[in-house]
Amino acid sequence: MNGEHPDRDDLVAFALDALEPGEEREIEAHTQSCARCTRELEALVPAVALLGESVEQLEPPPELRERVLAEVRADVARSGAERETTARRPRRRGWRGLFARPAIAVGLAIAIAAIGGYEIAGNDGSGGPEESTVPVVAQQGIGGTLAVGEHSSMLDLHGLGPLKGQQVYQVWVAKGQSLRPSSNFIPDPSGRAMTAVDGRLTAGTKVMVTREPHPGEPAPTTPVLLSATVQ
Amino acid sequence: MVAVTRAELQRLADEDLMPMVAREDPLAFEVFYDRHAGAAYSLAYRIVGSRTAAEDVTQEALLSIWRSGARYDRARGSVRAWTLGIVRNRAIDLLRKESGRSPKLAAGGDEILERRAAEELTDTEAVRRETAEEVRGAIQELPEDQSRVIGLAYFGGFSHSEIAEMLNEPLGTIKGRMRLGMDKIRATLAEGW
Repeated sequence: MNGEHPDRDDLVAFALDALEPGEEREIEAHTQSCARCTRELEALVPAVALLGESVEQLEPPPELRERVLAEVRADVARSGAERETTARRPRRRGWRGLFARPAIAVGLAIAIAAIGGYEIAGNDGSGGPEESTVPVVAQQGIGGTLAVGEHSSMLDLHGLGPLKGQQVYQVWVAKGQSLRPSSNFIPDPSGRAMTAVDGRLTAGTKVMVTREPHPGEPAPTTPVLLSATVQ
Repeated sequence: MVAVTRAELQRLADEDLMPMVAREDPLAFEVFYDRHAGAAYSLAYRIVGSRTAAEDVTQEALLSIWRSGARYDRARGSVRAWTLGIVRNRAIDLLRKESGRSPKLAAGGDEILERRAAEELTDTEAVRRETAEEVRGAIQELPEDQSRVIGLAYFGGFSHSEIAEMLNEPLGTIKGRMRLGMDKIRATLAEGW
């Protein structure tokens, strides 16, 4: 560190993912409240991205295309079958029905989120020891979890209302004074959605979701529907 | 719902294609695959150094994009850069999981670049490859000591301390080379790549 701010050398190493874990945490903690260093890191993003473009281009084997697209087609077939099953299933008043009572919605969302989060971690063996789950504090009957991974995280939500027109649900990532839009998504007919939150989410980072009139808003234009703070 | 043909999808810009991938349109994903799988595979191969592992990394990364609903946000750079970031993370994770990771760069900085004959290309892909060639040229113009440390970090997944030990140089020297090299790449970008 150089006085109040990290050395530029360290910011560059951070952008290249070349710091030791402890140093990385220091920079992450600092940038949560430093707009200047956040801007400096953002300015490095295009240069780092260029490195990935710089390798000699190879032709992937045709078998790879076949394998990937076969998986995609199988997913589509499974998804269609699941939708059909859900449509046939009679509606029942289970624990989700309790969200109809707003006075207890927040507390239940937290409790159920924690259970759901461990289910996610258990289902995904690739998450590794560094993955953790964070309860989502939600309103209006929405619940879910945020599974935090080393390079990206996954928000798994339920109870999302249907959208109209160009509306999308938008994920925002807030860190100190900086706020950036992340993914936007459309839930399935049952109100469930899983969406990736890219980048490393450090302690204190808050992930929020709003319902926006259309994609591409630079800042939230509607109230926050739910939030999760990484511990 | 109005069906969109493959030809129509192929005319869409990446940024307009991704919302269709997010809506689980397999044809849109196929177009996405055809545009970016080559670059993804090339980067994966550059990092993991084996065709089989590169195929696995590419498959996992592209399917994760598909299965996560393709949550691309145009405010955070191009679709290509976003995709390659995901591929790079997967490939480095693989390297770090392996006990004896041995990136090819350890022997010399000029191995950043590998040559392969180009096959028949679409116009768009040809332009992309030309751009990649120009970018490679810019990076090649870096002094070897700078391109080497940047390559070891980005393609090898090594920390600056590991690089300092590997090259038997002071940590401050390694950090300085990284900064100087990245500043030059940024300057090249500012000149209008």
